[in-house]
Amino acid sequence: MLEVHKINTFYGEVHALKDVSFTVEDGEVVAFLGANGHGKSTLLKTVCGLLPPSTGHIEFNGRRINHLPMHKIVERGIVYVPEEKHLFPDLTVRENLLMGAYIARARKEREKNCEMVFELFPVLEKRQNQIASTLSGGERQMLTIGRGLMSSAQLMAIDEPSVGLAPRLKMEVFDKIKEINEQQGLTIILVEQEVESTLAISDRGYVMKDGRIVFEDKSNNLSIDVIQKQYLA
Amino acid sequence: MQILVPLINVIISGLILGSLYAVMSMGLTLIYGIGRIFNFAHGAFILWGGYFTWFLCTKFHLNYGVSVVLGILILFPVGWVVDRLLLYPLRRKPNFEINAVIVTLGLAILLGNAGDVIFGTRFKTIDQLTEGLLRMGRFTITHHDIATLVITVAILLFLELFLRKTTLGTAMRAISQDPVGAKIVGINLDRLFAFTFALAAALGGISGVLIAPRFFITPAVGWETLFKAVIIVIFGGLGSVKGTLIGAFILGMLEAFISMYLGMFWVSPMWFILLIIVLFIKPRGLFGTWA
Repeated sequence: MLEVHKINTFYGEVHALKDVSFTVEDGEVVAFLGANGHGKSTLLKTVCGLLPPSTGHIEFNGRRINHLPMHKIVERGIVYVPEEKHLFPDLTVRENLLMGAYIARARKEREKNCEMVFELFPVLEKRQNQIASTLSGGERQMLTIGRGLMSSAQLMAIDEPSVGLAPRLKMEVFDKIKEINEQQGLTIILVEQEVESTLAISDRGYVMKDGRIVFEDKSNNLSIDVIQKQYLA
Repeated sequence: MQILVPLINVIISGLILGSLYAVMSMGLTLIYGIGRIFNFAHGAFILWGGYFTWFLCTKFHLNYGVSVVLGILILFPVGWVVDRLLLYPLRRKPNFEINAVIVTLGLAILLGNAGDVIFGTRFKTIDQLTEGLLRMGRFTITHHDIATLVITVAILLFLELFLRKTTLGTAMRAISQDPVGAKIVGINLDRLFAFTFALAAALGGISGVLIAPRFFITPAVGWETLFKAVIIVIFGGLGSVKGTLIGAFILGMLEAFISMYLGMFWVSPMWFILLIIVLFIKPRGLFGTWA
């Protein structure tokens, strides 16, 4: 479904991604693990079009996408769920969700998707007329994911969904991500630092260091200890 | 009764001024809120709204209402083209905010001088929308003032509904709150910037048409209206539609009272005094949220 070939991305002067290549198959949950500042988030931003690569190419469903503006990439079916939330603070929960279905393809399905999101996160339905800035941290994370679901995407790229959440909420968010993958059939790329929970819900994992992928394997084969001691320390 | 009659007349004239000023400043605040551009050419759009209407009314002997609509229909695409041609190329380059100031300032001068060349510098007048006077006992109000009030309130209501209820309007609010978030959901920012610019130019044009019968259309109108709109927008809070609306009505009312009881000469000084007081207490204006 997604094929990334030798991309290099610069963040200003910083060479943030160095010759990164990987693939994601239809229906998978693929995790990217590693310490802060080693290129995981940049990788997601590059795939989603927020930070186009300087060299290399990205193919989605067999068509090149790395030269496209971000709104075209969303049209193609990739949606980015950002770490820093980027919700619309003064819009209501419902308006935030409807904005998630802004692109033409999703607009037709927005009532159906809205119901699906409310089913997945009942708290959002209760708060649908509330202004987004009045939500708690956990609710905001759910709204960010919910807004992503509204775009009827095939591939969802989620950036550190557990950051800043209480342990119980972290578990809930990971469970929901698995649920989205299994029930909606959405393919997921997940960037995380919570090694154990991430490996538990993912099919494959890539470990990143200094802007490169250092190794990859099936999640079952990846050792939590090794990753934590050698790459997150 | 002796005191009441002039008082009510002043309040009515304050309401009319306020609604005119609201329409006049709204484009400025929209462009700032959504595109973070301080559009110095806004006054030029107001002036050109007046020019178009005058031109169509006097040279083609078109009916005022038709000229109004045509003027707006012309200014909307003009705004679109200005954004595409002048601002779009700068948007992805460094120092956009400063460059945009220089470009819009240059455009204001260009449009002003082009107006001088095309329409001449003579003072121009436009007839009132309708003639006649409505009497209710001792109160009188011209049909023109009633029409102005109805049109401006309709425009403001339309704008409010558009921003609150339509997907496009909600997307505009979304961009002003988090441009990166807007990109993430797949909003084509460039297209909405152009749309906002076009809408702002059309709003400026309408206000030019509406204020033209009250004042002479002269080349100076562009700068005078820009100056007033700037004060209103800063007073209400840059980028805030609600702030601009409330600011316009407060300052319009103030103008009506001052010109009645102190004289026109005192309007600008009093506006400034009030602006300074507000900025002392709320440095971002009444409803400003910009960082």
